Amino acid sequence: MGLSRSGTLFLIGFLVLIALSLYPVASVEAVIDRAFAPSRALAELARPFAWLERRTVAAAEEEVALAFEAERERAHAVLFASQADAMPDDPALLQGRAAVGAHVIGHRSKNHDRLRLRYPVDAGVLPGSPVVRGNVFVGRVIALDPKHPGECTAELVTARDFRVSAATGSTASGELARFVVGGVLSKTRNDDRELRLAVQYPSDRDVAVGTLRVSEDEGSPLARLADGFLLGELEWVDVRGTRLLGLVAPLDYAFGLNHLALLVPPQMGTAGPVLPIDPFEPASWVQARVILAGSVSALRETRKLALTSASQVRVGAALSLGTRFVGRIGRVGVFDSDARLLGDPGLSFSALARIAGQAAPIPLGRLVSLGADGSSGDVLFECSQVISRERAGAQGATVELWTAAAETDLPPGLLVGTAVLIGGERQFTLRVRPALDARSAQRLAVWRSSLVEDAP
Amino acid sequence: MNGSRILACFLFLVWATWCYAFAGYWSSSGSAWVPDIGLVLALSVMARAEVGDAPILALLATLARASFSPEPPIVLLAGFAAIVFLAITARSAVELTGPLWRTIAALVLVLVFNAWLAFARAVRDPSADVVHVGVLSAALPVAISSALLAFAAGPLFAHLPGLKPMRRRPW
Repeated sequence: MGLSRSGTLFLIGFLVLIALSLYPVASVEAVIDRAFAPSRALAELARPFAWLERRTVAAAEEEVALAFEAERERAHAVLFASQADAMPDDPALLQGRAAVGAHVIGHRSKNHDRLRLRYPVDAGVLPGSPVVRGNVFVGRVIALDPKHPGECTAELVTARDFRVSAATGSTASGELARFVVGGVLSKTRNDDRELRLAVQYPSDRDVAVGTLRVSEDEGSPLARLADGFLLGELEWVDVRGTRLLGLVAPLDYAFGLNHLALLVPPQMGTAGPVLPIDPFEPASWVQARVILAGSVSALRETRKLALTSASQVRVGAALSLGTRFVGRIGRVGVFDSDARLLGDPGLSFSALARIAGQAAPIPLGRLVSLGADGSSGDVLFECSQVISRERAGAQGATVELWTAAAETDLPPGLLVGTAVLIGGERQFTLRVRPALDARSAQRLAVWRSSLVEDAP
Repeated sequence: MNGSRILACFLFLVWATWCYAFAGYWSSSGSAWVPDIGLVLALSVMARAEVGDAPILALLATLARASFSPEPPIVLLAGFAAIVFLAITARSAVELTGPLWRTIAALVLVLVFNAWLAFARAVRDPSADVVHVGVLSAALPVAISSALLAFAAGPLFAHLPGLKPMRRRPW
């Protein structure tokens, strides 16, 4: 009877554990995490294994240190080239306005139609300044961050309440056909590759084809700076049996925006291209010791770091050695933290691909790790961006991968590795040879210069 | 619980931590064939432990693994509780200390444990989207190597110094 009672209690406890594991309750989880705090002390029993690896690790760290200066120069060159690629190049669009380089430092947590941007602090950016990428209109600045000079929030043209006046070529009557563009057509919203911008209030219902450009003739002087920038190609879209006008978006608004340009009056621009952020500023990184250079989980590629929440490092912060990107922080705890290496399935980041001989890097959007490929050291990534055959070629081109500006906790310009990129494929797997095999690393640098709060 | 059993529990914790640390160190080379040494140790001890000691073993194994594992402790604890439950059920029907059954038990239970970890991660963090990439196939080499380890070294694990007070049935 006694055994039966204890067995019943065990079963009840087991079911409760399963429920709490699958549907975590924050307060319970916090109590259990604290109850297991002694495991942090136990982890120090693994110290002798670090001594065994010391010689190999020292050689790897020396190689990284030797390559640092040259790779930093290359990183800056890639970022400047990416920034230059985001600037308008149509001479007609450069008259009467100045373009200020900016890069994306994150999305608003609950609104992916709003971006946080960083730009040179001396640029005369104002709320309402148009945001463009190349010759394409992207959105507007809606607020400057008073706490962080040189940072602002921009709203994308994909936002539901966004409105911008647009016009296409002359109609049969010789007048411009006018429209209002903003938001996306709901049916296609879940598939970013099929994204169509919503088009409303046509001045001429017979016009259903053509290229739409911004035409804010009756807007403010600041809004008129966007006049002439491309919005997309008009087409009919079938939405649940109803034919609606839509615009084929020329950009990947979800993951393809890294570097952008802000339009300001000509006297308020900056003198030349400047990097709004230097990813190699030493003060932006904090060093963390790897407790054990190995993972006990067959399904994960992680490391425990001797890094506590007192360090103010955030979940998602980039990890590097020298200029080389090796992963991101997965958890920050009171007693230790978890590092996710490139081979950890599900790890994601935005990337740029640089092809030798081509000036502008290709935005790859978000890469999602599928895990390490055996013991070769290569890591497989899923990429959903379509790369043009003109850029990469149907036979493939060897590319150098760099982190792209897209998130607060991931600085742009860190070297990821090399891969072979094939043009014209949609949703493909990229085999990446990491620039550094960090599996034996004893120390990692953690990015911490991004302690920004959400702007209004 | 007397002093010698408390000491045995403490030593089991130390041995388990060392087993996991060694497995982690071994895996840093990128080999997929690193056995789950800690789980094999726990199974070897559990095969002869009192039923009442099983939850304590699950707790201690969780504590040891949590030192190096990215999974939340509650997920590990639920996983080890499942392993304990299955092992106790199995040993009422078969002799888990025998070479064949301890090998099969290690193979199956390491797979079950890793399946549970993958399932829990997918449910807790749907954005991780990890199930479709077939990460479970990564657990198969671990399960096979763990089974071979249990076959070759099961008795050795059960007789590690200091663990004798936990063995109530002869090996």
